[in-house]
Amino acid sequence: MSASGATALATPNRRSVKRSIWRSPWLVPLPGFLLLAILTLPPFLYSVYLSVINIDVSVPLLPVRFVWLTNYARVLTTADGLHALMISLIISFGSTFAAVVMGLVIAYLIHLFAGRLAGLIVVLVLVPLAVSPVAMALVFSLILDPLYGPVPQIVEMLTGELIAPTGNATGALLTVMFVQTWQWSPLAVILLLGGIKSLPREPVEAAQIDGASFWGMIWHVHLPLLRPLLAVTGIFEFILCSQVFAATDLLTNGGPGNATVDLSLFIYKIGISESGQVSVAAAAGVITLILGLISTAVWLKVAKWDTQIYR
Amino acid sequence: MGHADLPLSSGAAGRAAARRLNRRALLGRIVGGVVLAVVLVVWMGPLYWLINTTFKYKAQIQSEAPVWFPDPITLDNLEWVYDNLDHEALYRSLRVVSISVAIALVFGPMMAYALSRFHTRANRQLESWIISTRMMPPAALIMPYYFLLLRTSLLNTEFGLTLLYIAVNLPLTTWIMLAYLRSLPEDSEEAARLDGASRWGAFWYIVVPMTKSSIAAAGLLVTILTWNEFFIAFVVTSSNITFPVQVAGFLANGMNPEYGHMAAAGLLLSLPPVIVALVFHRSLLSGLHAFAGGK
Repeated sequence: MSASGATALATPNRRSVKRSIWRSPWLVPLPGFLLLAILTLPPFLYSVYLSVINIDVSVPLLPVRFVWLTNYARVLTTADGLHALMISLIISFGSTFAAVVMGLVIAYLIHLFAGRLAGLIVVLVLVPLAVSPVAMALVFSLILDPLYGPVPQIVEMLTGELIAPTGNATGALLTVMFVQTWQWSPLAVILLLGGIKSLPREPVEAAQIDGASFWGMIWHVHLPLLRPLLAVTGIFEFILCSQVFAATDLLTNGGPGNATVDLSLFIYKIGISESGQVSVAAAAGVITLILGLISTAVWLKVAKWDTQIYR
Repeated sequence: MGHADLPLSSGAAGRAAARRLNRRALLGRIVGGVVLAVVLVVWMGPLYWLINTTFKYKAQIQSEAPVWFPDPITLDNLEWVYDNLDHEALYRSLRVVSISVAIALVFGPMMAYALSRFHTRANRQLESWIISTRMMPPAALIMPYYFLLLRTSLLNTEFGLTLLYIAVNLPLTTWIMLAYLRSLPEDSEEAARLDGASRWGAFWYIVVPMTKSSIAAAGLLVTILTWNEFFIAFVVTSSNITFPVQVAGFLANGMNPEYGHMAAAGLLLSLPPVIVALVFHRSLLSGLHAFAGGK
């Protein structure tokens, strides 16, 4: 009697749980989530696994061992690994800074002086964003060619000096940063232009009535109001600018020496094209991943600040 | 520089100030316009040089001083590249891009709809996971991808490359759609649900038609980025290469470089996305805003 009562109670309950699973609205997008999970989670776990064992393709019959964090130490304590990390940070921070400053300057130029041509100019400014990084590497190697490139030729005409922009470490680094800046600053232009246009009126008018000068207006009224948007733009540019490969591999080929070998090129060279130290490359990959996760987390945090200014 | 006439503000104060236009302000305006023009010329310079070099004879490419206009114009470089191009790489690029973008456009809006409308405790974590996978430098996971493709004998196959591109495009599409759907008022969906539509009925018949242009904008941005993608294709394919990888092979080296061929190949690669971006600039702008804003 009591047993049958218990089943009578349990059955509809179980059925309703079952039904609610099959009726869950999450069932429809589930294939998409599963597809993404299958494509992204195993590589992530496999990457962590690869980074704590000792696969080295160049050593035949090497027994696979667990080596703790040796590979991470190999990246973070040896000269070439640390150098790659440094170069990655220099390229990312340098081109991010340049892209945001360029973006701000061009956005103001368009806002103040473009007049009726503003729409057309914004479209032109967008163009580099659509140019393939490979084509960019090609065109910059044309422009900077020491013998036939227009930039060295003009410099020679003006100063009488022969230059090879990608021939020295600083020049090569600056070139890579310039390419990254040119590719991604259009995004800063349109984000900041949107922000400038939607600035609230009251503080600006108040400052004008108080007789603020042009630069005072920009410095003391505009920039503080734009600060949240500048933060979003900056971190977003950082994420994009740190994804560099075509410029370092094709344009400078990591050189001269290893002056432009950043983490991406380091991983590619050490893991695939040159030495086959798969586990070291995987460890460098995990370090890149952590840097990427940190910057994404900062971006998501910062993006929440400016709900009212952001359009 | 005069400031009174500049549109730093609008409204009554701005208009009153504009009436006080004086000579100094006019000068400022002219100087600003010139600076803007110079910046734009430099901005478009690299692209112009690509076009310029493509249509020049070798004698003019390898001249002592810059030759600003090709004279005479030649199509030799374009012809040479067209004859020596592996056309299969071009078709492969088209296939890989269209399939991976199509799959991203099928699943992305649904995933974004679920994330924006069905609230659970895990939504935030799911969103962070989705966008993190896209914002990583591709080099971070290239080793595991390379070896997983090797183990499953998908290395150097079109299918393997398409899978990786789906892993890149699906999160990005979802992210962009999430931004659009968050800003879409739920009123019309609620009205449809009151009339007896299910949640997904409301999605198909209300949300999808209302966000058609947003889906197109997401598709446009993702298509351009995938068409241009170089690193992943370069690493995981060796003979079944895509168009950007092939064009990278035209990079001239040595003592007597064929810069004309190189420029022509670069131009062929970048023209399609640039033209698409120019034609659909409105859509691209909106997609970029959604990409960057997220919230």
